[in-house]
Amino acid sequence: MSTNAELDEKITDLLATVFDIDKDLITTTSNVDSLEKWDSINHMHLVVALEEEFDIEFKDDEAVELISFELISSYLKEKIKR
Amino acid sequence: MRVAAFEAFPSEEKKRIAVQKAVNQWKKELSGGHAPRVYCLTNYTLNGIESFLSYHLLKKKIRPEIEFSDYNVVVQTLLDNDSRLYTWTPDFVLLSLDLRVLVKDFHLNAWDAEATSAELLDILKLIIDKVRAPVLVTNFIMPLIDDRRAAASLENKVRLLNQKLAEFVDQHGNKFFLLDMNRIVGLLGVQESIDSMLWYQSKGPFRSPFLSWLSRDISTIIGAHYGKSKKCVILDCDNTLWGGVIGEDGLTGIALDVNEYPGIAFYEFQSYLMNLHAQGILLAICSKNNEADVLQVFDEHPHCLLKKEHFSCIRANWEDKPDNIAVIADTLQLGLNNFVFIDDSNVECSLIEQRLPELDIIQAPQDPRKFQYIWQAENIFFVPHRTHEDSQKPQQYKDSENRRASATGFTNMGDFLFSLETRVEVFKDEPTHVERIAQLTQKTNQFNARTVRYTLQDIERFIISPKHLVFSMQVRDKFGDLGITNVCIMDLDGSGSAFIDSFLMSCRAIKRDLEIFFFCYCVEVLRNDYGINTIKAEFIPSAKNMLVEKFWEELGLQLLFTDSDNNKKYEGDIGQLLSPKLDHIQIKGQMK
Repeated sequence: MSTNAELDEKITDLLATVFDIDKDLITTTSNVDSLEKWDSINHMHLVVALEEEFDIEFKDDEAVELISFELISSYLKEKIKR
Repeated sequence: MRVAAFEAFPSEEKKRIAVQKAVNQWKKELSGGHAPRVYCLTNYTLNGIESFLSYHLLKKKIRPEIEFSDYNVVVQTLLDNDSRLYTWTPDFVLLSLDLRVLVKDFHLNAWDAEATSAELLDILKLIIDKVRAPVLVTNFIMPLIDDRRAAASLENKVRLLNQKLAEFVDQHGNKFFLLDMNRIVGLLGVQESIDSMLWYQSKGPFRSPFLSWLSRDISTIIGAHYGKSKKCVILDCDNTLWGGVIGEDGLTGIALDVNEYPGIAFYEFQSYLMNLHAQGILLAICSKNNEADVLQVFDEHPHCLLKKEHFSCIRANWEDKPDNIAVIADTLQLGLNNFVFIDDSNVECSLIEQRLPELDIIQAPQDPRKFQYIWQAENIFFVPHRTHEDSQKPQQYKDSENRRASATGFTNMGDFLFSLETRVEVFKDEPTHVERIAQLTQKTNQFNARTVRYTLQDIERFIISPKHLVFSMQVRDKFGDLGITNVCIMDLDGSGSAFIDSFLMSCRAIKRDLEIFFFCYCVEVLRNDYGINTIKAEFIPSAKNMLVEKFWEELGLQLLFTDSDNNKKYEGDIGQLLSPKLDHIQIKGQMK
């Protein structure tokens, strides 16, 4: 994952797929309140998808915090760096 | 389409995002076809399976709707007549219970296995009473604790429950289908199967690869209810049934010796094929070889399990394989989508893929050790209800070959039909035929006027109902027993007319006027016993049933109109229908 833009693109693609919505609806300010399809079941699927795609694991307290594009992005940067 | 066998489980099917992407895409592309409702009755969180189950069903061109029960309210859901389990009228129910939720303090191990077993049976009996749809039920994952010899062994308790569950499913094989979770854990390993964190957080125990494989097993069973199962394997010979090339290596040079590698790998593959044959799956050969060389292996090789008589059709020559396959399909009177083709050559597989896209293709592995992936992967030959007829099928097709050979000696079709000494028996609402009738509605593609698929439960309901009549016909001739080949389901409207809901015939009985005989007989019964004067019928075109397009007109029914879906509606007075003389068919006794 070389640049921020690439990471953003990958997160956008992943959110659009899990929620089955158009990519245009997702911005870097998207969060659990702005997207109707971001419900608790889809959140569960989202966490699993992030773990599989980036080959990482989230701890219990981390998983519940992944509630916006920005938070996902910052967690990923931290985990991938490690 | 190539069937995944030698990547036994392709990696793109193991990950949520890849699968979800395909599902989102296919949902937009695919319209029409079967759209069953699947209700998941579980006491834990199984919602993660939705994408994977959709994926494997969409792959079979089936568009499911899927709903889930709430967490840990299985019995309440079953008892509540207003629950979605009933009001949504699902076509299939998936029952999956996690013991850690079902039993208090599972790991503390103070629970009583007999009491839990009784509780489980209560749930299953409730389902028998109240759920009409076929039920797919998962067994319990064995705890990985080595406590077999302890006084209260968890392992033994779970084993007991699984045994009770399996016995129950065996006794109710018409309605229940067992999904073996432990087989999946065994194939994938615990690492790829179980997600402890997700279990602790959300009571969702499974990782994506497990959910995907379980979904594939579920899709196999659901798909088979819609006639998606296979009936025949077409096999290449060299490097498929044995190692090496018979034309070059000779009888002593090919690898098939059970005491050696790689011979044993091919011997095991032949054992698997022998088992398929015993279950009623047909085997055929399509090989670029001299026929004499191939037959020599079957006759003379000391380790060759497969003999000439196991094959319903052998095409060993130097013609094009797609042409040979067309001959095989014609000889066995099966549609191309009923075949699986297995060949080690990438060139042949690609050629068939191009020319005959309906065929399922498995490219045999270059590495003989990987042959076992074929039977570890999906059971593409799964049929929902095994009937007595299935195990007789290879013999029936052999008989059919004899009939064909016999036909060549006659110049006149009438003489030939007479010589077959056909004897039939017609049954009405016959309870012992339910499985076979359901199976025929599910599997018959060619001679099928409306191609409506029914479950066994549907047929049982029709038989009991006074508004429906279910006719079936058994056929025998001098070459053998063809079994139940014809089915007719009639809806009576109570005012003197009958609608032909289903009229179908197994393709093994085609071209013998049996359909006409059967139709006339059913109509006679309707007139004499039920006071019916008017027959209504319909032809719904499918990709396969052009054979019956003109059938209703030929019998004297009038075409009323063709609707916007191209379905043709017919009607006719019984008195004006044709009743041809069919002296070559003898009816045995009176109708039962």
